[in-house]
Amino acid sequence: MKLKGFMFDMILSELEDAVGIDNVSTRQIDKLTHGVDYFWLARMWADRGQALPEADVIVSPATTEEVSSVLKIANYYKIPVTTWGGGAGSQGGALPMTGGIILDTKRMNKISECNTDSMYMRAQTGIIWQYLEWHANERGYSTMHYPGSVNCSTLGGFLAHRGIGVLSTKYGKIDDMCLSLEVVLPNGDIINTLPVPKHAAGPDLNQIFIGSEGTIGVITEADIRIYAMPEKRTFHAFLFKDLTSAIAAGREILTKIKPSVMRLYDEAETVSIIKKVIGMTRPGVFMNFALEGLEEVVAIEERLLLDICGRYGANDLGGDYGEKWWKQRIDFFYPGHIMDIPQMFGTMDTIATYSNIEKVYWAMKEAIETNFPMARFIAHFSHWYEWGVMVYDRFIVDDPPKDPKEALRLHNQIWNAGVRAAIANGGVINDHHGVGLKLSRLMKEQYGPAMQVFEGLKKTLDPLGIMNPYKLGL
Amino acid sequence: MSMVAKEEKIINACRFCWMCRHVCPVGKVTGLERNNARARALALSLVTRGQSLTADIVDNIYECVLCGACTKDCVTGFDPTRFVKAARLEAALEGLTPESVVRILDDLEQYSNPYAGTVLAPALQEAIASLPQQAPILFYLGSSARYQNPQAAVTAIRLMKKAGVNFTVMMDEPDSGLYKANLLGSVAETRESMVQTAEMINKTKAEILVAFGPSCAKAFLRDYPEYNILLSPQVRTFTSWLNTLIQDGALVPTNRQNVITFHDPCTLARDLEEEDPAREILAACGTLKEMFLHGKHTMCCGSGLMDLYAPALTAKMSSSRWNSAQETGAQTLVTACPSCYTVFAKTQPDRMRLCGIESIVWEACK
Ligand SMILES: Cc1cc2nc3c(=O)[nH]c(=O)nc-3n(C[C@H](O)[C@H](O)[C@H](O)COP(=O)(O)OP(=O)(O)OC[C@H]3O[C@@H](n4cnc5c(N)ncnc54)[C@H](O)[C@@H]3O)c2cc1C
Ligand code: SF4
Ligand code: SF4
Repeated sequence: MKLKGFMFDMILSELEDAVGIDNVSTRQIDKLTHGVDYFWLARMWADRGQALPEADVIVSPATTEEVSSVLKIANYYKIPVTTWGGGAGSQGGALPMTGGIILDTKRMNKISECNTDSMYMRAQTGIIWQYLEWHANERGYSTMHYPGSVNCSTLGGFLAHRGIGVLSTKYGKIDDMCLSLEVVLPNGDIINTLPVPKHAAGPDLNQIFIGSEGTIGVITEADIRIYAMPEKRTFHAFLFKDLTSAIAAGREILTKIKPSVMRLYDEAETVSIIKKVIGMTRPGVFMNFALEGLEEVVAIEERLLLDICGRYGANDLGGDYGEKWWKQRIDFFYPGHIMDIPQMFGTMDTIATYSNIEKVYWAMKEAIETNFPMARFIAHFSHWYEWGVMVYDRFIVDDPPKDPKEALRLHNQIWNAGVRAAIANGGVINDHHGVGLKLSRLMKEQYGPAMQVFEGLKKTLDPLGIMNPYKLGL
Repeated sequence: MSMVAKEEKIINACRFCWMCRHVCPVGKVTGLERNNARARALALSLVTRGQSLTADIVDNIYECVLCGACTKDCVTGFDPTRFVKAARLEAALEGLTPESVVRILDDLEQYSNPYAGTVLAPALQEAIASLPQQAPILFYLGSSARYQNPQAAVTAIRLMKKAGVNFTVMMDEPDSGLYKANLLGSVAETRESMVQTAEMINKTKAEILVAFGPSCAKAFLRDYPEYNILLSPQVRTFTSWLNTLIQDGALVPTNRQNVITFHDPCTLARDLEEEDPAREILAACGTLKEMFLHGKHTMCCGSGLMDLYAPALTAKMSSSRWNSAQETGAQTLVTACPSCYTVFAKTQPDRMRLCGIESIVWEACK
């Protein structure tokens, strides 16, 4: 912010008046900690001692009304506002790329209702998801949203990025789990979407704000579904001959039953897993399922699952792997297990129909392996629908360029190649990590003229363009 | 090599990792991004890369309450309290220790306790004087009980007497050294004061040392061995000892009307991995209703030590714990640590009672 004289302090005192003096900070430590999120580029930039994106002021409101006051002030003075939830997004979405205000939501962490009649919880969006889950568990329920970042990310962050958990095949994505929202628009107006998600009262307002990544408002409260704890959860693993037969089996399975977990690993990822399961490497692709719910129903589903996988020639590897994976499903994300700097890496999750998914996979693999021989490519397919499946494909470069600018360039080239290959073959720019800063430039390529719908929304709701600039292609 | 650089491996692991942020009791109540292990590591990672340690960073380093929740959560086994203590030491060497902490260190120097305590409350003096000078069991009260919460110490002594335990308490009990270790990290003086304390304890020829405060127990059981300091008596926590007295019938609680919730002290539940004895004791004294986040998931009350230099932050943390206590519907919050008791007493809501575990047993045995 370039402000003369004591103008900056005038604005600061207005913000302090709005949210309380203790909840406004210009301290360097706060600027620093909001200068690096989970985005690889931000991490690499910090690692190499480069100047980080820096907010001018960090504001932590506790209520919807306070958020409204902050946005009114920001609007009046035309100051950029970047909403920061957990900062654990991988797309640079929460980084204050043009300075201004960071609006950190984590003081908005209250649960106001647990409605076991209609099976939802209402909470403020700054709550870390694990707290929602713990509260649901205390009452004998679960949110059934189990992402790897359950400990790190907020309800608002998951909504803003259209997040997903490992049980999505049965329970859906975050956008399926949300009944209703309260949102503060950039001009400070507080609005509510309809009390229910299914209706015929025009387009779905929920789905306009879900995935909007803080570019057209701040989501302040949400009603989120809860589910009964399953009577039984059981696991089954198989080794299929190849991706084609495994995907075909998966497709057929979903015409008959609904597993909660379906995770199919490509040959590269199978190598390490299969060794752990059967003690030696064997060619093929590994797939792990979980079935859950009422014991009686699970028994029938189990029979059908074994039957279908058998017909596609899969070897039954039993349930031990699945049990262990379930217990350790989050361990993978702790340092020492997951990729980390100095490696360069990225998760290019995309999704396509069954007709296209294999094309997408092979095209992305080829785009990366042939153009960037220094990069490894691994993938698994872990969120399945009746019409298609998500591929969680990752690239890893063990020894990226030392020069940060060179590293940035290579990183973006790999991403461009991978995402363009996906789009060209019927995939989409992203499945559940969102767009953020990382993929912003590719949004127009994805949407073409349809992008004007989002641009129109942005122009109307945020005419001064203060909300999360440079993100989501807006 | 700087003190911080020695912990570079942990710093580098934590700086980009958010996995334990949900367990940080400070981050939970402040909602601030700077209050978790990754934020502190990120700042220190810049220091290991040549930037200066600043007062601003140090301030945040002192906002860590050293509760060990992050350490316990870490699947890989990293321990952020190590770089926190290293940074505190480095700050001291660079003259960056916050003024509020320097005052406590001065008090520690002058009075051997951080509460500027010089004389014991008369009732406590009397209770100690009534005990034999030498006995097979040494009951170690700790500075917090001696100077902040003498009533708890008196009740605990009475309880031990009632159970017929042959024990003694040192009138001039030395400080465990824990405060210095937490405020300054691993300096020579920390070890020196621990060595002196160990010598005094060993001289008593006691066979068993029962530590009233779980933090003192943790110091004796964990820190002393780490510093290679030998304590001759076997160390027991007060809760495990008290539970044995009840289970053996030396104490017989008869009043079981209490509806109780229990705050697990972090050092007891996490560092010492002791959860059951307090629960068995409370089951003998009434009905226990568990709080949201208990056992090894307990959230720090704010800590008596932090209360001395950042009372507002401590008050936020203890209030948050009180909220959880109230949600259980219990009438009484019991804690098993005299220091937690002092912290909780400052934010006690009107409609709940606060009780040390010694008092609830004392009442139940009347
Ligand atoms: C270890 C790890 C594992 C992960 N595993 C998964 C996984 O399994 N599934 C998955 O989906 N994701 C996963 N992620 C990614 C990440 O958790 C999600 O992208 C999550 O949605 C980010 O939430 P956050 O609160 O951290 O948001 P932030 O990073 O703070 O913000 C993300 C975006 O949301 C916006 N935003 C945040 N709050 C609001 C709000 N209240 N209103 C409007 N906009 C808002 C921000 O401006 C930003 O654009 C993982 C991340 C990590 C670190
Ligand atoms: S202690 Fe473990 S979980 Fe916590 S930040 Fe460090 S590496 Fe991550
Ligand atoms: S020791 Fe406790 S207060 Fe300090 S960072 Fe870890 S969890 Fe937070």
